[in-house]
Amino acid sequence: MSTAATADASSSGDTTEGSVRLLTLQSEDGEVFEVKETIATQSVTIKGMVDDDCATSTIPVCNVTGRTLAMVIEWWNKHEIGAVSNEKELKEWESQFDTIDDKSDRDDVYDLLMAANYLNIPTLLDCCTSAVAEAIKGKSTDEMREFFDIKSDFDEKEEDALRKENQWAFEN
Amino acid sequence: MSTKVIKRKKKLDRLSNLPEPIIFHIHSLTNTKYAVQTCVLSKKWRHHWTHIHILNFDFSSFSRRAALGKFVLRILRHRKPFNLQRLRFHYGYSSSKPPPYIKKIFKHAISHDVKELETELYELPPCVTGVKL
Repeated sequence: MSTAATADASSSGDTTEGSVRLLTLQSEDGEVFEVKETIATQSVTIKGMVDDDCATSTIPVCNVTGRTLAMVIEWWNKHEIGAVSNEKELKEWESQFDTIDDKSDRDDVYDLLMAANYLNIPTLLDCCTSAVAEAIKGKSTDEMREFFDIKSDFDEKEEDALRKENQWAFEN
Repeated sequence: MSTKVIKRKKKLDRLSNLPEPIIFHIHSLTNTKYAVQTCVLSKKWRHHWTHIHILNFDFSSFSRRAALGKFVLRILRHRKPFNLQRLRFHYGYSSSKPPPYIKKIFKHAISHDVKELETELYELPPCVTGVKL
């Protein structure tokens, strides 16, 4: 099976496919996905629901759009034990998530970060956090403000004073 | 919802609005110098860097060795006293003679229960025992 994600599948709760139990996840914008339980439990949040027997009906994934949830499921599929033959192949595949080249990549990483945080998926959270850290690296204050759309609420005097106070961090 | 938020995707500062633990983790993953530099971005960012749980000192981001020393000592003084997950101290060359402030760094790391230590220095202060190197 190439992907466990099926949009607009049955929303009647958990079903089985062969001997594998399927969970039904619903994104914030109403998209429904059926995912193998063995895959979805890479999410600590979902695993907790399964363990507590609370995953018998459709699981709403709040604040995560269908587009992002599809990416998360793709992540789970690749990280399923045996999905890729070696660590190198997995790292190569992950590299599409761990670099932020433009603002569109940046927004995808934010979406994935929020999803990984809500669903508690440590591997995805680590990858996206590293991507942001890497994007910060070497940027000047103005470049950071521009790239991340951060608006300064310091007046010029305050900023100058702060720079002076932390001069040791701005020295080359 | 009756009040509709006007979508200005390009100007939305989502980084500042990420959950704080994520921001602290992002800081911990960067060179500590870059983490501290974010203090001038906006008022919200002013003290974020003090929550770092990984110290990553890299001499290659300083042109003067003395500047690194000054930087390191300030960080130790100003960071919140959380336990340290990792200390990385990259002095730029394998010197048998560690810089004079090295003792303070390792003492700080050990007193904050550091789990991992990474350095290319050969000669470490005697206080470094029982730490995963």
